This record gives sequence, structure tokens and C-alpha cells, in this order.
Amino acid sequence: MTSVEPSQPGPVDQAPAPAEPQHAPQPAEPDEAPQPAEPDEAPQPAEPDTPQPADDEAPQPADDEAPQPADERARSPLRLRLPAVLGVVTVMLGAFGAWATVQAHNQRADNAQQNLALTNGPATSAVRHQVTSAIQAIFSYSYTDTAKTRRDAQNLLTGSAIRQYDQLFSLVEKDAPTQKLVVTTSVTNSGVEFLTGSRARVLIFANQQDSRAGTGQTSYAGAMFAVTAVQTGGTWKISNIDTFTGG
Amino acid sequence: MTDPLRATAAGLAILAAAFAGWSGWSWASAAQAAPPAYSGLRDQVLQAGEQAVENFNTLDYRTVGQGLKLWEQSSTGALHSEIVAGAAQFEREFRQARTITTAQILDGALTSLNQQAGTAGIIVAIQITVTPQHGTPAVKQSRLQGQLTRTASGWKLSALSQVPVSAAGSGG
Repeated sequence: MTSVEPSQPGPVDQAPAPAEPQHAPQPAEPDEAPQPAEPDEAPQPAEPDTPQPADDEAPQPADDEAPQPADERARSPLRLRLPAVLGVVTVMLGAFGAWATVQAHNQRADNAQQNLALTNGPATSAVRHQVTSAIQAIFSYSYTDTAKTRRDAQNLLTGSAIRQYDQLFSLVEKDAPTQKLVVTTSVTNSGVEFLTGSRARVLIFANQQDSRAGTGQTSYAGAMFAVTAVQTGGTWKISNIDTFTGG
Repeated sequence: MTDPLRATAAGLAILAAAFAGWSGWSWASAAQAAPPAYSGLRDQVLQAGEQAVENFNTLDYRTVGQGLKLWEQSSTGALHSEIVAGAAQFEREFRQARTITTAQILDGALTSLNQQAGTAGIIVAIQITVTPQHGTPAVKQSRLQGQLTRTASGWKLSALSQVPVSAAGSGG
């Protein structure tokens, strides 16, 4: 602005010439360039204290700051920018949180479907042991007390296995007393094929030792079962027994 | 500090940070609970084992040489040596028997898997159909147990046997 000095009064008619110095400090907008160049205003820049015309024009292009008093202008970044920054941070954290929540949910859904057989050692041996002892219990009986085996089985079976077992065991209850049968089933091999938190499939090989009381006769038979088990309240119960006879 | 706008913005930002922290932790813990690559190995070993067991229960007297080759390829260690040593005799016997044996895996499971040692245990429920040249096919179910060993060309059977009916060995 100081360049707009007395040397410039002459070229009043030359519109562009005074316009340039005046606009130099401002964010020059081409549209406004001709306005200060009008003859009415031209004499003003000619005066020594040029700041005046500059101040008059300042409010127009710089709307944000100019209308405010000087001290408020200094504080405004804190009053408005801090909440604005916090707002941006809030949105970003919120967006991350939402995204991570979705990721966690998907990951858990995936995990729940994952087969933990052998990859989770303790869970694998737990289901293996429980299914093994359940199979041994429900398929071991004595002709003297078949009711005991049936009673015990109630706590070890669930779902369709209950009906399967009832069909099977009603034959046992009919035949065992007349044949004086004592059957002991022992699992020889077991492998967990599939295991999630609530469901498992276990392949079982078992030997059955059949003794006929009083005769001293003992025979052996091998059996294989694919057992489906479900976990309820920390206990695995057999929900289905596949004996591979379905064809 | 008492500016309500700033206080609200700060409060929301703290809530958002807490939510982000919680959800990030939740995600990390879920990811950590994911089964390791080990589960892929288990499935792969089981599949290789079932295929090898099926190979060992498949033989056509018309292509005995080919069948025995497959036995050799599916085995390693002691089982492999056994087959190689007995190949000539097996071939003679199978040609004389004039049977076609096919197998269907009913079910199978790994009983153990040791990634470091490269060993695994497998049990397989199998249905074997033996078709003689004349007469009706005989179908029987069998319980097999085997050992798998990792080799440069995949997992192979190093032992395979029928589970004896009497584990106690009391002669039944």
C-alpha cells in the first residue's frame, strides 16, 4: 500500500494503474479490480494515509474476520476450532469403532463355524472322553439290572438319540434276562472329526464282550459309531448315533 | 473450559475413543481366538490319509501291477518296505484270486496330529466290496487304524491294520 504514493495522482484516468497497488495486499478478485479505479475513489489513494481506503474495502472480501473486534478474532480459533477438531476426531473414532465391531462380529461368526478338532487340544480331549464314557455306559449292561443302564442313559442322551436308544434297548430288555447276558463295551479308538463350541462328531470303535452267566461263554464283537454330540451346560450329550447300517 | 460446546465435543470424543478402544480390543481378541493354519493341515492330512486307505483297499486282478504301484505310492516307512518286498507274491496271489476289490470310506478321523514330528494317527470306517469273477459280491465293513508320516511328496501311510475285535487279546 505504501507504493500508492503521491506519484500516482496523475494517472487517474488510467483505471488499471491505481487498481493494482490497492489490490495487491488483498486476495485480489478480478471482478472488483475496476471498482476502486473509478474516478470517485481515485483521489483517496492519492492521499498520504493510504490505510483508510484499504480498511474500508477489507470487510468486503474478508467476511470472516473483519467484522469482529480485534481481540475476539484472536480467540476464535480456540473457541471454534477445538470443538471442530474434536468433532472430526469423534467421527473418525466412531467410524473405526463401528468398523472394528463389524469385523469382530464377522470374526466371531467365522470362529463359531470353525472346526476346532485337534486344534483346540483341551476341548478335543474333553469331548472325546465324555463321548467315550457315555458310549461305554449306555452299551454296557447286565441282565440283572438293565433298568440301571437305561436310567443312566437318560442323562447321557438327548434329541433323536433318545428314540434310537429306546428302540435298541427294548430288545436288550427282552433278550438279556433270558440269555443271562452281561455286556461290557469298551472304546478302543476314537477320533474327533468336527468340533465347535456346541457340537461335535466323534468316530468311535468299540469292542463288546458278551458273557452268558453260568455258561462261561464269552464272545466278542466289534462296533463302530459316528456319534454326534451337543454340549449343554458344560456336558456333552449324545444326540445321534450313526452305526453305518443305513446303507 | 466451561464452554458447553467444547465440553460436549470433548465428552463425545471421549465416548468415541472408549468405543473405538473397546471395539478394537474385541476385534483383536476375536482374531486371536481364530483357529491357526493348523486346522488347514488337519483337514489336509485327514484327506490324504483317507485317500491312502482307500487306495490300499482297492485292487483289480486285471490291473494288479498298477494297483500295487498305487500302494507303494501311498505308503512310506515300514509299510512301504513291506509292500515292496512282498510285491511279487501279492501280484501272484491277486491274479489267482481273480477278484475286484473296491472300497468306500464311511467315515474317518485323525486321532492325533504332531506337526513338528510330521506324524498323525488316523482311524477309518470303511466298507469293502469284494467281487469275484463269478458269484455275488461280498460286502463287509471294517475298522482300520493307521499312522501317517509326512514325506517330501505329502503325507503317507506308514502303518495300517484292522482294529482287532478283542483288544484284550483273549482270543475271542
